[in-house]
Amino acid sequence: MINSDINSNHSDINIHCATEQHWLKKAPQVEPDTNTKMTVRSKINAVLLCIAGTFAQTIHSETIARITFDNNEIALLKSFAPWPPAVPDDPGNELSGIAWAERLGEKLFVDPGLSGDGEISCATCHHRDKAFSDGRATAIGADTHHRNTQGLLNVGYQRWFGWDGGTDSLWAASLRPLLSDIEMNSSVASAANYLRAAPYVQTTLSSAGIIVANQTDDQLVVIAAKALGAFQRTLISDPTGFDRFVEAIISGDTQAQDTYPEPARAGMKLFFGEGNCHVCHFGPDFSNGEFHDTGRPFFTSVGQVDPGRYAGIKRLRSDRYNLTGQFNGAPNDTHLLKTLTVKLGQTNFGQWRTPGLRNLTLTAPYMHDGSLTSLRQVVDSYADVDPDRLHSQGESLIRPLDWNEQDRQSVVAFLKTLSP
Amino acid sequence: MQQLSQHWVIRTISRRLACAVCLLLPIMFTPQVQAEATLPIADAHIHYSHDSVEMTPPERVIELMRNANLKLALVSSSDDNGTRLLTDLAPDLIVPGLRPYTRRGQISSWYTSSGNLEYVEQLLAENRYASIGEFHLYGDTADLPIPRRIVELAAEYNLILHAHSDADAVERLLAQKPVVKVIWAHAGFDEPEFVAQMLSKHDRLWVDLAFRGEVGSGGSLSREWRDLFDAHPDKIMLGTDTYTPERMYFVPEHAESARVWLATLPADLAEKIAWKNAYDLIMPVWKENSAMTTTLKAPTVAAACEQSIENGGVVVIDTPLTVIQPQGDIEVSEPFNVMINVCGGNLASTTVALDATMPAHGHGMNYAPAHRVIQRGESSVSVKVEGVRLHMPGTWQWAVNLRSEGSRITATHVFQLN
Repeated sequence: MINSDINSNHSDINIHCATEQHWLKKAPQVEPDTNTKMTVRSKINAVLLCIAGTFAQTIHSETIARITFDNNEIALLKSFAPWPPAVPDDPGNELSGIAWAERLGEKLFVDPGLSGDGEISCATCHHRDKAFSDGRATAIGADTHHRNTQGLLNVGYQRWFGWDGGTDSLWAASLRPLLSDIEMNSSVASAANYLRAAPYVQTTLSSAGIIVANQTDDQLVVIAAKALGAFQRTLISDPTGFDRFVEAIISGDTQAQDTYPEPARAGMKLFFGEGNCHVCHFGPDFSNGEFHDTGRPFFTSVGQVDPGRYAGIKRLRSDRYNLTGQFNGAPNDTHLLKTLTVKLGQTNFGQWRTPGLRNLTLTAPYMHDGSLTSLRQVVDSYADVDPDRLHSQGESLIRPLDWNEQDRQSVVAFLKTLSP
Repeated sequence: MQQLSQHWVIRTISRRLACAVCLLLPIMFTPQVQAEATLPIADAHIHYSHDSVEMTPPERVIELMRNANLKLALVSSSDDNGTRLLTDLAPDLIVPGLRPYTRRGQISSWYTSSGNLEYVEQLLAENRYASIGEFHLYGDTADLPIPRRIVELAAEYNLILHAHSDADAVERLLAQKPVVKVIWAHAGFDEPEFVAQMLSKHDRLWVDLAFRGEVGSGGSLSREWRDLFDAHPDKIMLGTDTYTPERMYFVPEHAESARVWLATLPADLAEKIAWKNAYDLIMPVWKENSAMTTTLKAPTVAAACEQSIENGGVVVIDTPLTVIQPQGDIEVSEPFNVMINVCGGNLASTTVALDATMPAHGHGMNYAPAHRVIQRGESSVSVKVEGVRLHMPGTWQWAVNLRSEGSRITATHVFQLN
């Protein structure tokens, strides 16, 4: 509502500038930076004050009220482009990027025959129309899960997989739910039997020179998992309003820049500036690929917790399908190093993988347990974080933010521009 | 097709290589050395605060601690209820510390809040503890009046201070009373070399290693930490720091991971850090303080009378010295408590009763407040009167009644309630 008001009437911004000093402050008037096409706009009469690489305060014109960005900010924005970047190969997956495997993986993805009861497929919880999430707070497979189903668009960019990073490759992450008793509740033997009997599997593998009868149960299931990984690696989301805005900045297309909503610009300022959100939500996929304690509770019920990354590392180390194991199809590549060197420490207790921020409008609810139903709740959760939950020697980046209503709406507006 | 077949051939070869790698994995990938699983641990940094009580029953907490093979747990909580629940449930395991916080969120406000000080004084009058803390103080805030009073109380009640502080504040605390001992929480988050300097400088200083993830990271100790342990083998103790409710479930994990790096130390040093240092520091204090309930009541209650007078209590009877002190502000029709301390003479069987009347109106209270003896000795008694409610503004009168076999003393004190 407010967003649309601001969009439709620039003078509203000026009113906010005058009354909401925290949100928008006028900067001293200086000469525009002619090296940046952003600032060539003839009406701009002020520029940002920049402090050592961080986002500075906002400028606006009394007649145009356009929020713009200085060179440092633009350099930072460029690190979030282009979209999509090249997708890396799935670690240890010799089928990664192979067309027949991708097609096989797509069929396996929707095939419930792989599950223990023959009724649950990957697609049961990963709906294409929800960016491959399911819209539930926590997943329901063979049993009720205590974690939220993560969307799979752009999953190929991840370093670790799952909320706790308990797997180090996309193919191993595809195998894990197959064998989980609360998800697809199958077994290697059961899944292998099904694969041997499935005509389309037989046909595809035969065409690829793989004789199914010669494969052990493990080998056959791993082939299926790697095909699933190959397929999921291809799931890339479309460019967004944010991407078009950054491209317009890079190309100097001011007309295209003007189509980016003003509230989203304000939210972008806060996201990259005071909020420091970009430190963890970094890069084209808006994730640094690592794990953090953001102060969210992680009880699953009275008397039980989900330890997050701490349990994930332990699970990774004991996983026979990790990259140190015999099923790594590319044991000499550098991906193995992460698995060999990852450290287990007490700060991992209650950490969760930083999710990418694309497609958020399709993937509610949010957080590892789906406990926040709206983007506004997510923003509030960070802005109003209980510092007692963050040890003083813990995540110093996260702290309560003195964001007013307008600030919070702006950040939500920005986040929405990360969805197609 | 051909590509995949080649991969499979390569994989067969690489499997042999992998077998060789497997032999190295215990060193490369999981460097944990199998530790003595049953090495007891003293955990000197446990909180069981109000939100933790809501999510984890005390029985479950004790179960987690027993599973971790804890020999001792120094527990302090915001509020104190969690500590009391655990102490009552497992007195052989739990040593209570008194945290000066009534709720979460007082880390930065408690040291300027008279309410927090009153809370501490009240609980010290009611219960026994081994320590005051863990509290947060930095720099010269340690010299503010309330922290100074906390140090005085520590000296008076034979309590160890448990300070989450920088070195400056620790030194200020130590300087205030020459008898107080300090457990420096988290080893001050300082470098081990500096921690060693502090320990060399202060005989009355110990450190806990709570939330120091770098200690023993990956199962081995760095040279710097090992040097600290060798230089001060009697001053180091362990702690989990359950600063969020969820962290209670990390207690067994913490103990397990500590045993891994402790196993790299000489057995006697490992045992000291695992539990002996904490045990040797905390248990003598706790044994002495907990025994005071039956053997040292009189001096404590006498001190309570004096303290009550200093804090504005009203002397209503000179002999035996009888002091009444409402706790907190009195507001019309709002319930409050009154502490009565009686000191001197033979009070072993004396009953104490408080009433309030409005002489001009010819009536008293509409409620009969509860009387609870919180301390009794041969020559002293402390009674807490709970639920006093003065339902009208005007002139009220306290009536204190001391009754023992063959003796009855009644005294009144008039006051105005607006």
